[in-house]
Amino acid sequence: MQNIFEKKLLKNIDRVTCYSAEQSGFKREVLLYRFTLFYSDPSDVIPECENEIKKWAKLEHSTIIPIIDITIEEKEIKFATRKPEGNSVDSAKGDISTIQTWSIARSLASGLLALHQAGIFLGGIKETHLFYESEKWIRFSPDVLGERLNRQVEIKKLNINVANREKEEAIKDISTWGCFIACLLMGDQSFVPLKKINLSNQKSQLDLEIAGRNPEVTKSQEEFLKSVIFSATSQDKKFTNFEQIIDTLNKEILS
Amino acid sequence: MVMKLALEKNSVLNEKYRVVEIIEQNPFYTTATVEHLLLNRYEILYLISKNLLEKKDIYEVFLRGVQKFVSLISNSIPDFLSFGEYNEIPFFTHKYIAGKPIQELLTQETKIPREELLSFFIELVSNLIFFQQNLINWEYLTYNDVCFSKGNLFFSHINFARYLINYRSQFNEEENNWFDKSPGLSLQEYDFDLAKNLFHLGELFYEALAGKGLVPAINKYKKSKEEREKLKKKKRDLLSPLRLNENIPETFEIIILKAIHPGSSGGYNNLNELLEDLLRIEQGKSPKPFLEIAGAEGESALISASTPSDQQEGYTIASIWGTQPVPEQEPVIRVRVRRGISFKKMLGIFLILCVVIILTYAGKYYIPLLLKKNHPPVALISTNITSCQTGEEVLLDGTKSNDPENDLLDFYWEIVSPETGQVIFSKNRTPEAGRTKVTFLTTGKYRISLKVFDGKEFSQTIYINVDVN
Repeated sequence: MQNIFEKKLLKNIDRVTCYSAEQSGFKREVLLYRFTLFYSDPSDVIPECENEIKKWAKLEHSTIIPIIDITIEEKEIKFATRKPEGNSVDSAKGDISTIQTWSIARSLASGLLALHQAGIFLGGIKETHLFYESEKWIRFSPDVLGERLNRQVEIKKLNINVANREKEEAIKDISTWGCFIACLLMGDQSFVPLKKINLSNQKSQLDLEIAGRNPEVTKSQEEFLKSVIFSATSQDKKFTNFEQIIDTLNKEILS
Repeated sequence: MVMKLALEKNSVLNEKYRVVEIIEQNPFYTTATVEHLLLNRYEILYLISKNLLEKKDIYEVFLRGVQKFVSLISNSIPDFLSFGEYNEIPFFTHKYIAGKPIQELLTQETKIPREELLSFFIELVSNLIFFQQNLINWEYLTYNDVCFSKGNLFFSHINFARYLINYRSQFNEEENNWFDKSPGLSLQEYDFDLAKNLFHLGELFYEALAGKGLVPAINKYKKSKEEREKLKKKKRDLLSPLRLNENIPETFEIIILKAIHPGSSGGYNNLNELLEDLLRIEQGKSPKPFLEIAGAEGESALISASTPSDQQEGYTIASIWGTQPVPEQEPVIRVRVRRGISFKKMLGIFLILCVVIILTYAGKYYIPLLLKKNHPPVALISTNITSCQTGEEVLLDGTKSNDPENDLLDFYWEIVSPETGQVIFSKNRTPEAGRTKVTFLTTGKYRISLKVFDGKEFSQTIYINVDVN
């Protein structure tokens, strides 16, 4: 990996270590991820991990922070990404207006659609997955890719058949997308992950009065978000993919 | 001379990049579409020329231009990726944009519906403003420079490459040398680029809406010499309001005309003004009219040129019409509407001949002009007093009076004596007279009236009554 030099250790995500680094020539700060297998890990998992990175690298969507470069060795993969500028969604939450939130909703939905089309299902988005770059654009943090690499190793080690899980994970992405947008609209200080809402409890549904908390949200917008959030548990499963969500957003909700 | 670079199709750089296609070679770099072999994706590669590398100071400036681009975070600039060396020659790559040029999408009407063009224009201009805030001006802007990819608007690498060339130097044909000029753009060149940007935007809007090129339309609009000769015989024909294209809504026609006359009187002076007009259309309002004369029937007009620069085409002219004084220190541009022409009862878009004389420089310009109906001003007295004592000083305030065209107003105050009915006070014809003080010396009921004049018409007279005890 030419011209990229490690500067400072930022964090560890199991097998993945993230450093801030300098890309000379461009004179910019980038993120460098070192994915190193544990001793107990099967070394033949590297091709799967390589494939995962390639899938990510090929994604052409504004929500995906691009991979700059990569080197692959026997037990280690290093890849560098652009460093997102600005704040995490969490710290920007209070300042995001209703109009901005709907713009984020559309952008994030199309980003998740791009991921799903590339065969990447996150199984529910988390607050730490998202960046609000330059207070304008929603982006997936490159940490998500780090988590995906760890997941690949676990899948290999435990011999899990992921094909059966994809549908379920897609639905979780949909539900958590709805939760995330609802939280932004309600101005909640913390992202309410899906697990915090007791989906089997009807009372929780009643608590989710988005329009009551934000007068700029219409009842139909509230109903839409509720049916997205509870897609995972409802019988009719109104929304099963992001194409339907984007279509509904464009034609009914934001028209 | 241009040095050939060691980059050929299918050659592999650093075991990582395979050259798919060479796009362009110029004295500064070679651009190529390359495949990143480890990531199986296409990128655009720039291999710096030895020629440029040997000119260390120029290379430093060039590199600063690249770094400036890299530091910008925008959804409309392709992401920059690697920076490396191949045989000790630096290269860098950015993302390959797989989108289609906007021209293709516009001609296929189903891809960008006409009703979505407005939001496209707004996004385009907003992006250009973002670049200009970072001191980047695209010299030319054509359809091919803008493309759509996955729902995003991008500026293509062609534009970026052109910017880099302009950033540093220009070719000196006599000396066959690309490195003769000091690098960087001067402020004048920057202003000139800004004017060109505006013109090309007008051109792009026209093409998008009319589906054909603007230049033939401008020629028709300006009329050829022969046509003008013919029209001299039929002077009145010149006064027919002109339309660039019947397919273009009038609101957009105003925007296009203002854009293709950058810096001229009534034209846009900057991209923010253009964006403001586009946002007005989005809100269902009309754009601000360009050069306008309200009810200037049969009059020649004076325009004061407030710009110190007459060498560039992109100078600014502030318009002062009617009876307003022209500051002596400023050069005067006399706008003469063709002989014998009266604007009476004719509204619409006209071309007026503008003869510019600044010192020894003289030139003729055709300026689009919107002639619109004048609306009379409205007089308003905001003094609440209904009674006062003799000898007391009373403030008369008519400054809330207004004019729909925002013309400067003259004030005509009148105080009518209770005994004789004669006017005993009148202060008028100065804009400062909007607020004036009077003192009543004898008791009685006084009627105070005000009417205002906008240079063309009087307002209705309004009255207040004051009891002086």
